[in-house]
Amino acid sequence: MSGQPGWLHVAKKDLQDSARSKLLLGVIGVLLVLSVVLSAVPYLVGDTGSDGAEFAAALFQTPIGIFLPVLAAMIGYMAIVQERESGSIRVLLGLPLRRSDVVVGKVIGRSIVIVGALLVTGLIGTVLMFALYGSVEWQQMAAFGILGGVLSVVYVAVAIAVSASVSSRGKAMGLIVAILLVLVYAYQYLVLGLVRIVEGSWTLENVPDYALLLLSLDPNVAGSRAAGYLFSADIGDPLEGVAGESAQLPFYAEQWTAFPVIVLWIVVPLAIGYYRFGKADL
Amino acid sequence: MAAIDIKALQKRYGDVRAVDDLDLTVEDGEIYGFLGPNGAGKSTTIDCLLGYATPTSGEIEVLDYDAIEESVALRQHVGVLPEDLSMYDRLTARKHVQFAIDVKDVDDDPEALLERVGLQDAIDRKAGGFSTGMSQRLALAMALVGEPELLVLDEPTSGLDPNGARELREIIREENERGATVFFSSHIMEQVEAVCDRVGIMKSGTMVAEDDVAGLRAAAGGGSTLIVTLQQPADGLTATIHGRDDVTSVQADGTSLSISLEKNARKTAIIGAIEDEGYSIEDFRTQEASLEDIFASYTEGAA
Repeated sequence: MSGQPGWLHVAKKDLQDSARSKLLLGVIGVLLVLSVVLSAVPYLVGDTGSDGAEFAAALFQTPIGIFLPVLAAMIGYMAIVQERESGSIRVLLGLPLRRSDVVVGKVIGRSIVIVGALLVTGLIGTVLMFALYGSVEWQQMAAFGILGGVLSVVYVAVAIAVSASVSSRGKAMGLIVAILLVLVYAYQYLVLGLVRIVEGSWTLENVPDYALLLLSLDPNVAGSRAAGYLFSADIGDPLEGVAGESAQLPFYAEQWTAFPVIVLWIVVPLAIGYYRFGKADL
Repeated sequence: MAAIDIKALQKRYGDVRAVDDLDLTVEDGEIYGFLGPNGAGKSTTIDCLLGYATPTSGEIEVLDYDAIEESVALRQHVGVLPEDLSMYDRLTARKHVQFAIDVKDVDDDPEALLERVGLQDAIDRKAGGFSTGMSQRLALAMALVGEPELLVLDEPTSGLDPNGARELREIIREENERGATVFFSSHIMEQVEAVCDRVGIMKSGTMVAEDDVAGLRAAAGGGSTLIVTLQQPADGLTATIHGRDDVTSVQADGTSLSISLEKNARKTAIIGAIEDEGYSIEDFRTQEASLEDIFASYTEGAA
């Protein structure tokens, strides 16, 4: 039938369409300001040379974990539901395209958009660091790039899954905000609370296995561990130390397990979203 | 071969039966007008036909494909102009048509298609600034991509001015001459009368009439009206005329008389009868029942 797969057409068109959107300009703007400010802060407070470069790199971790999920969610949550509300989905699906082509194409298109924005702004920050301090913590910046990329793609996938699952923008927004609040801001506290209830104490040392498992499922933790695994950079394995010294650690305490966790965060939400979108009356 | 063959189609939304046991056949090469007031179930039927919605029960076969199971393969051969559509604001008309060409993997020329639908001056303009009529034309250009065997046009004239509607009819005829079957829905009878070989009228989820235009007109009771202008007030005549077997109703208005005729009524006999009563006739004319009247006779009143 078609020379190229349908999802590729959708991804290309979505990229062309969203590349011209004000939303993308806004996202690039936020990332650019973030990147430039974080790179320059040590210089502004008087830290120069390699100390400054180290300080600057260290500043990136927390903002990446907070901002990228939100930006990715903003880029993704309207992707499909807006087309359903406006009626352009009827034009799209009047052509020989599968609904899965729409979901996959959107995930790829929007992932490229945000990862592209992340790369460009991250590079600008890195160049600025080099200009200000004469050196750059390459490995660490690359590790943060991986963390940022993982969070971008995971939250784009989650947001598009939400977008595919519901019939109105309002519902999509409510759902994605709830997911962000839980995953980004509350997840670790919820796990700690669970430990407190089950074990009767607030401990961050020698946490029980089930808590370790739950913590390892946090996308931010998974992204950090994946980056640490790839670059052996000082991004810190958030689970190091927490797991205790026991010789018999469960397999999910090992860093490589971050990769299947990331894949699960992309595939499971999208499978649910596709299932609901696939049987919806448009 | 039937281009569209719908059997016992049902679509329920909760307790609402949007389409209730619909049978519908469109022959290959036909221009079929699918009529009905808003809410009659036309769009739901088309949604099921195109895979936008899944029927509750029933069978739909289109161009020998199972429209429910093989929707994607089917849409390769169908040109679709959906209802309530919207375009991608930031993409130009050319990009839209090119997208349809890429997805269908054909070699059409976007400019030629856009010229054909009258958008030659807007080829490189972004669709965000388009009027409803322009979006409708753009969607038509996308529907024409790949010389589809079947065109499904859902309310294609909405947003078009009379001139645009005429151009649309021309394109429908051209496509039909090329060999395409055309299935097109409207809630306005006169939009379909000029082009359609056959018309189906839907009401409350079922088909209430299906025939060619002349047949519908005949079935709706002939329905022509004789309008006679007299030289004197006509009031005194109504009782006599109304008493005739070939007259269904009479209305007097000053010196003019509107006489609704039975199917086989002979006008000369009625004119003669008026003159026999001693009235002088200044002028008379007959009025065919308008298609709107026929449409109304099927779709108004009790379900």
